[in-house]
Amino acid sequence: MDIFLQIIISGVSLGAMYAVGTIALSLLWGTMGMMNLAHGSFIAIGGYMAYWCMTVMGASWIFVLPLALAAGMLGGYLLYHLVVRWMFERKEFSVDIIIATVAVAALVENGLLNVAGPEAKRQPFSISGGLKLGDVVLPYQTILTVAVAIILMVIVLYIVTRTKMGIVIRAVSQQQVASQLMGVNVMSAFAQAMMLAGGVAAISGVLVTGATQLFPGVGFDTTIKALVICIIAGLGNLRGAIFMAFVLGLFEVAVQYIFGQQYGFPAMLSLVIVLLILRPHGLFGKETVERV
Amino acid sequence: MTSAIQVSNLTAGYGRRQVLHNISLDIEEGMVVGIIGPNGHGKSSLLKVLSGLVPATSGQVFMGGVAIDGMSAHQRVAKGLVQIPQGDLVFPDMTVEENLLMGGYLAQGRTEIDRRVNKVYEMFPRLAERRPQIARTLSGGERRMLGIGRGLMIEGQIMLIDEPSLGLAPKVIDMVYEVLAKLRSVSPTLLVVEENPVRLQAIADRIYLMDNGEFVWNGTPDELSRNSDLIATYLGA
Amino acid sequence: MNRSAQNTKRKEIWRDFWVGLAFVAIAVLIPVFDPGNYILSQITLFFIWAAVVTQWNLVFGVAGVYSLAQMAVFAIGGYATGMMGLYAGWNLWAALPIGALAAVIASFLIGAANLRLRGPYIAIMTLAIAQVLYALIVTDVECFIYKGKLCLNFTGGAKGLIQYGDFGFKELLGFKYRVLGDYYLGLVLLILGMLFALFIMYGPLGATFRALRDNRICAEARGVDRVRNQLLVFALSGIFTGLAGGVYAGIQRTFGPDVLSSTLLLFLLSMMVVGGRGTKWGPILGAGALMLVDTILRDFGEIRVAGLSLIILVVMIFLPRGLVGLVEDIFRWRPQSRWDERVKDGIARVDFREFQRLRNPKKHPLGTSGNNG
Repeated sequence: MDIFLQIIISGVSLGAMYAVGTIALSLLWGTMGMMNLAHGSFIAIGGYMAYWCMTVMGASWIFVLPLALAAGMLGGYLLYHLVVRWMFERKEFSVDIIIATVAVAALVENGLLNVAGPEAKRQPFSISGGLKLGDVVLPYQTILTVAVAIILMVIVLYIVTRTKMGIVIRAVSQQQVASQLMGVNVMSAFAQAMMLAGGVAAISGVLVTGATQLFPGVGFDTTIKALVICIIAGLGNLRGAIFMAFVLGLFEVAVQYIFGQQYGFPAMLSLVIVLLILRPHGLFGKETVERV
Repeated sequence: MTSAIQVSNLTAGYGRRQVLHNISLDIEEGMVVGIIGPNGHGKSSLLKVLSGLVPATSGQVFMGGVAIDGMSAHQRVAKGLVQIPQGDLVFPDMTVEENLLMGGYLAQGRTEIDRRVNKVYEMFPRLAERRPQIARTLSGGERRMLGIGRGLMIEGQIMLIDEPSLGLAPKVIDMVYEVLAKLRSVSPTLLVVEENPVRLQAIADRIYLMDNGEFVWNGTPDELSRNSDLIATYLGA
Repeated sequence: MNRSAQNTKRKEIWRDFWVGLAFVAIAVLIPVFDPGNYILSQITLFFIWAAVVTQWNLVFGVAGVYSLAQMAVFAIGGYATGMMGLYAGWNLWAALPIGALAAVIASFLIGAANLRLRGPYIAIMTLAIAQVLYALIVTDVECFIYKGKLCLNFTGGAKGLIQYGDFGFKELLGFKYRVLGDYYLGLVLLILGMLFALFIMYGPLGATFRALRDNRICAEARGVDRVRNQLLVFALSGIFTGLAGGVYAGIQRTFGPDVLSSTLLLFLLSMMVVGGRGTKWGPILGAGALMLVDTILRDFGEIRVAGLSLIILVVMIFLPRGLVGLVEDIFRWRPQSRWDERVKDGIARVDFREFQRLRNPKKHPLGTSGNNG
C-alpha cells in the first residue's frame, strides 16, 4: 500500500513537471505552428535567474518569479525577432524552426556553460520538507509545482480565450491575412505570443530546477518529453496535454518502480508510439482535413 | 468632389513577374466603382496592392491626398482603408461574435464596439441568430455576410470588396447584393471587383474593365450594357 | 519523358561524374603531400560523417521524412560491429556486414514506428527515440561478461565498448602508415555511399520519394504506396549509415554513447543544412565546410558549440537552401519566362486556362491600346 502511495506521489510530482512544460509548448504550437526545441533554454534561464537572485545576490525569494518572468519574456521577444520571424513565411517553417531552435538551445547551453560553469547547482527556490501521509512523504515542492502548474494553465487559458490579446493571438494563428486587414500588426501579435510562452516557460523552469538540480543543459530532456506528451494529447490541446502529462508521469514512475529506474522513459515512449499508431492525431486531437 | 483614393502609374508583380502595368485610377468620395474582367488578370492583385498586402514596384497611392505607399497593411486599415478579402477568410475557429470583435480591433472602448456590433446585427439579422456559432460551421452565404459585417466593424472611409459573389448560389448572390446596395448608405466609398458585370451594373456609378493587368475601358454601367462587343470579347457572355 | 528532358538528365549525370571524379582525384592525392597525421585523421572523419550525411539526406532531404534518428542508426551499426568483434570474436571486416544489417533493421523499425505521423511530429519522435537509446546505454551497468577481473557491460555503458579489435592496418602497413589505411577505407566508404545515393536519386525510387515529399496526397492519389516507400527509404539509408558506424568503430577502436550526444547530432545536422537539404552534393560540401570550421574552432574549445549553432542559425535564416542553393543561384541566374518563375515560386494551384495563356501569350483581340468604348 505504501509503495502504491509512493508511486502516486512521485508520479504526480513528475507529471506536474511535465505539465508545466507542456503549457508553453502547446501554446506556441497552437498559435504559431511552432515546436520550440529551445524551450529547455527558457527552463534553464528561469532556474539560473532564481540562482542568481537568491544565491549570488542574496535577495529574497519574492523577486524570483517576477525576475524569471521578465527574463523569459525578454528571451521570447529576442527569439522571435532574431530567429522566428525570418523563417515564418516559409513552406517548411515547421521543420526549419525545429532545426533552428535546436541550434538556439545549444547556443544558450554553451553560453550558460561558459558563464556559470558546468557543475550542477542546488537551486534555492524550493521548499524542503513535506506532508506526512502514513509512512510516505508528500514533498511541499510537489504541492507547489502542481499548484503553480494549475494556476499557470488557468492564467494562460484565461488570456487566450478572454482577453483582447488572446483573441488577437488566436485570430492571427487562424487567419493571418484577415488579421492584417482588421488592422492587427501580425508581427507584434506573434512576438506577444512568444513572450507569453517564454515567461511561462521560465517560471516553470524555476519550479522544475527547484525540485531537481540546476545545470546548463537542464531543460532538454524535459522539452523532448513534454513535446512527446503534447503530440500524444493532440498538439495545441492545452487541457489534454496537462491531463496526459499526469497520466504519463504516473506510468513512467510505475515502470521505474517495477522494472528499474532506467526503463521509465523507454517504456513511456513505447506506449506513446503504440498509441500514436492507433491514433495518429493524438488522443484528443482533431482530425484535420488537408487541402491540396 | 474630393477624391477618396487616387492611384497613379501603379506597377506591381510577384517576383520578376509583373501583373499590373501602369494602373491609374481616381475614385471620388461617395462613389461606387466596379472593376470587372476575366479571371487571373490582376483585379484581386490590384486590391491587394491598394490594401498593402502586396507591395507595389512603382507608382503611388493616395488616400484623401496623403500618400500611403510606405504603409503596411495594418497601418492602412487604421487610416480607414478596409478590404473584404476574396473567399471569406473568416477566423474559422472563432464564434461569429468573436469574428466581429476582431473587426472592432481598432475601435476604442467597450461601448463603441457594442454599438458597432449591434449595427452589424441590425443589418444582418441572420448573424445575430448565429452569434455563438463557430464560423467554420456557417454556410457559404453566412460566411460572406460575416466577412462583410466584420469589415463594416472597422467603419472605414473606403471599402474594397473582392468578388462578393464568388462561389455562391444565385439566390445567395441576390442577398449579398441587397446588402451591398444597403452599404452605399453606410460606407462613403466602395470599390467592388467582380468577374461578372451583371449585378454590378445595378449598384455601380462607374465600371472599369481590366485585362492583362491594365484598364482597357471605363464608363458608366449604361454604356457598358450598350457595348455588346466589349462584353463578348472580354467576358465571353 | 521527352528528348530534351533526357538530354538534361544526361548532361546532369556527366556533370556529377566530373565533379565526383575531381573530388576523388583530390582525395586520393592528398596523402602524397604528407599533411601530417592530425589532418589525415580529420579528413578520415570527414569521409565518415559525409557518408552518414549523404544517407541521412536520402531520408530527410529527398524523401522529406524529417527523421532525427540517423545517429541512432549509426550507433546501432557501430555497436553491432563492435559487439561481433568483442563477443563473437569475429574479424571486424566480417562484422561490418552484420553492423550494416543491424542498422538496416533498426532504421526500418524507426521508419515503421513513425509511419502514421508526418512532418515535425516525426522529428520529435525520432529525436525521442535517439534520446531513449542514449539513456539506455548510459544507464547500462550490469555485468555482461568478465574479461579477467574487468566487468564489461553489454553495451559498454557510459564508457563505451573497447577491445573489440580493428581492421588490422597496423599489421598490414606498419604503425607509421596505419593512418593511411584508415584514410583510404573512409574514402572508399564515402565513394560507395555517394554512388549508392546518386543511384537512388537518379532512379525511379528517387522520383517517387520526391513526389511523396512535394505532394503526398497527389502522389498517393496517383497510386504511390507511401507506406512501402517510407519503409524502403529508411531501410536503404540504413545500409551505408550502419557501415559507416562499423568503420568508425574500427578506426576509433572504441565506440561509446557520445555518438548519440546532441552536440554530434547538431554537428551532422548542420552539415546537411549548410550544404543544402535534398541536393546531391550538399551533404559532402556541408560536411567539408563544417569539418573545416570545427578544425579551426578546436582551439577555442569552449565556444565550439556556440560557433556551430550560430552557423546553423545564420544559414537557416539567410540560406535555407544551403551552400549548394547559393552556388546554383550564382551559376543559374538568367532571365526566366513567366511560366518558369511561377513553377519555381511553387504556386501549386495553377488555373489551366492561365497555363495555356502563359504558354501561348497571344495579343488580346482589341490590341493593347486602352480605351475602345
